Amino acid sequence: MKKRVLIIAPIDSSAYSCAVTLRSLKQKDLDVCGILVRSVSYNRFKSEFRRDGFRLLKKFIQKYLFRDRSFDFSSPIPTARDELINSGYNRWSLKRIAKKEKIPYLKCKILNSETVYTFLKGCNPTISLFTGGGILREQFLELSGKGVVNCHLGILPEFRGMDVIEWPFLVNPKKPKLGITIHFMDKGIDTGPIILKKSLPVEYCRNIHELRIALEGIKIDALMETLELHTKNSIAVSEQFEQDGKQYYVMHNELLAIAKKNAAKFLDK
Amino acid sequence: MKDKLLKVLWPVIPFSFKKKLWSEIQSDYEFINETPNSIVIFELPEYRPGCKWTYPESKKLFNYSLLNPKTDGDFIMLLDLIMRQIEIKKIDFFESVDRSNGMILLNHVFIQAYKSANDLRYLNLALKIRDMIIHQIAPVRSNKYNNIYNQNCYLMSKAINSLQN
Repeated sequence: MKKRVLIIAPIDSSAYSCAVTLRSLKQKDLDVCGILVRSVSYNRFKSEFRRDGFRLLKKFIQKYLFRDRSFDFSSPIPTARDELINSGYNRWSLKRIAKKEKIPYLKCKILNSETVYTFLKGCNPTISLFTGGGILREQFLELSGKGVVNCHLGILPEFRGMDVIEWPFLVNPKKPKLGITIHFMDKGIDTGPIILKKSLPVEYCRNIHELRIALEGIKIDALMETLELHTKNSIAVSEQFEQDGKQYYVMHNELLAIAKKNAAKFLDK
Repeated sequence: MKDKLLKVLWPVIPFSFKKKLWSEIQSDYEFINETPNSIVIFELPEYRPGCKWTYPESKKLFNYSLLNPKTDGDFIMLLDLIMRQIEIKKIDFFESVDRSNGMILLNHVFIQAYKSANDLRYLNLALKIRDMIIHQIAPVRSNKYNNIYNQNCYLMSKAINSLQN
């Protein structure tokens, strides 16, 4: 029997979410049973702006206007945008993909709402992939099949939270602990059971900006590897413990400048 | 000890701030679940000391005692809790904190915490609080706390310099 995957996305035009959806569609023994997208509202923008500050504007321009296009670095590992161009889906939205592939689609203001729960019950996924969108409540997690899989941009359990590509360059500049972690989401922040970890392509990158771009392809590959494990019923997890790591927050600009400098020095070697 | 100063300063942190902090914790289901065995301690007079908090949604009993903070561990936990609530912008400082006192006291608390624990997350938060003070409360800053503020700025630049080298 085919497994059923649900995709959760932060915005309709996310190149990363589109690439993950398209790759999932190509997987054998797997059906994409639903796409859930958060709508962009004034309140959402306001709350994210309070958290991220002006960085949100940069993110907004990069995602909406440039659709994750990079002008100064060509990643050796195909990015989400490359995937979309290569498969003839450049500038497609999730809504358009859903319509073409006849996948149930829901755009919602809040992920933790009755409308969404009803949608989840209808989709009845065996697993869900989180590509962004916000905090998920317990009820959401319970309706997501085996669980909601997230790709965290740092090594867990040591680096939980935000700016986890930058923090290792500050905490241990000579030997930064870099990598991504695929894990199941739980009620905490980045505290769920770990599925797999991948290292970063440091040899190809000269700075954090390039690392972030090169990471996209690795994130997609790691999610697909997880789906493959799921179709074979062979996902094995290792639990995390609260005391094993710290939760990091958005880095202040002064510290960010130091982290970037340390990263450039480390990557230069 | 990073908690020593907080022990001294906690009584003078404005009540309105503590109240706001507590109401945020109450509404933060994930956060409570993350630390089910924690003892978070407050001195809010409207709650009876020692009573256990029942979260209405889950009907689960949490060991949230509402006593005055006592042990070193209690204070460390309190400090982490404040950091988390501020960092995720659960608390709007300028609605809940007495501008001339609270911010500068907190600034002091966090920089002390950084100094003793060597945890860069506290420096990160201290820098953010410093920016808030510079941008929003400088005109009402009382002379009483100027020294603390200046000392903190000095400590922060020292910490940043050591990171740069």
